[in-house]
Amino acid sequence: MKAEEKRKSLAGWLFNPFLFWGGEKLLLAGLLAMLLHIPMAMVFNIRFGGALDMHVGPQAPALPVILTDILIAWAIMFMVLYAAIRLFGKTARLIDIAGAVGVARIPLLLTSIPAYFTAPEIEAPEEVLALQGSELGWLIAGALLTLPFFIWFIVLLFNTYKVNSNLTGWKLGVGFVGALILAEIASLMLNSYFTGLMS
Amino acid sequence: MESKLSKLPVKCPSCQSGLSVQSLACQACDTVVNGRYDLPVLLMLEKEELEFVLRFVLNSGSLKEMSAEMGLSYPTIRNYLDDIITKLNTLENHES
Repeated sequence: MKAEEKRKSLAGWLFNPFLFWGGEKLLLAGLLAMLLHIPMAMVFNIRFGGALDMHVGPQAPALPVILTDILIAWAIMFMVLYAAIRLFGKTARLIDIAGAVGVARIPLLLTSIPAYFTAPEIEAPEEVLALQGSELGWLIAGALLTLPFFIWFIVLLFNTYKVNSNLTGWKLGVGFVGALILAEIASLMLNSYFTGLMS
Repeated sequence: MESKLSKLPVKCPSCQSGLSVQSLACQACDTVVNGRYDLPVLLMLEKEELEFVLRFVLNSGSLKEMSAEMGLSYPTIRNYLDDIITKLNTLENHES
């Protein structure tokens, strides 16, 4: 069977470990990955504000902000993916999706490192337009370094959806893209609401 | 999955139509029974799919136990089963 062959390959472990990794073990790994967001955010001044987001700031966010960010990013993503599976009349276990979403975020977590070292020192996002010379070069280098990790993150999310839904064709594509868009919008709205409460 | 069953030919190698059983022989006394017998739908599955069904029955239908035994995740096992169910339904509808 194809899944058994992938179990023996590095590519299988990197891009679709959910074929052979699930249940309580995967959930535990996902929870550990989510907890790792806390030191990464503190050390590298990162905000994970949104289901698909990673932003470098001038200083580390406060702990309540970090906790709110990662809880929203994780919970919204796995709940929306679950809903997008049920929508097509398929069944799935929440435990598998929750664990897989946590593990899928590991590449996003890794983008923190190149992003921190290459991010320009700016106060407002629009200042990016005024960047020149080596600062602009570092920004482009940072974008090129983080892009493969971001693609890896999306591939893992896609495989989370594919393995747990067993959907094919247009339902797989539309369900996944729709879920990502919905998760991003919902997480940004919730982030904005809770950040407002905390400030 | 290590195969224990040999593949039963279900399609004609010449025209790809479905095959049926025409004769059965007794291994002890060499009596041969001729006739036309349709193959059971289960036997029309691929070798690996048949192995999967066998394991499923031997595990009393527990996908969790099969998942542990085969070293695959629960959703993967459930997907294999769903695919086999879909195939069996198609074969049954084709038969009737």
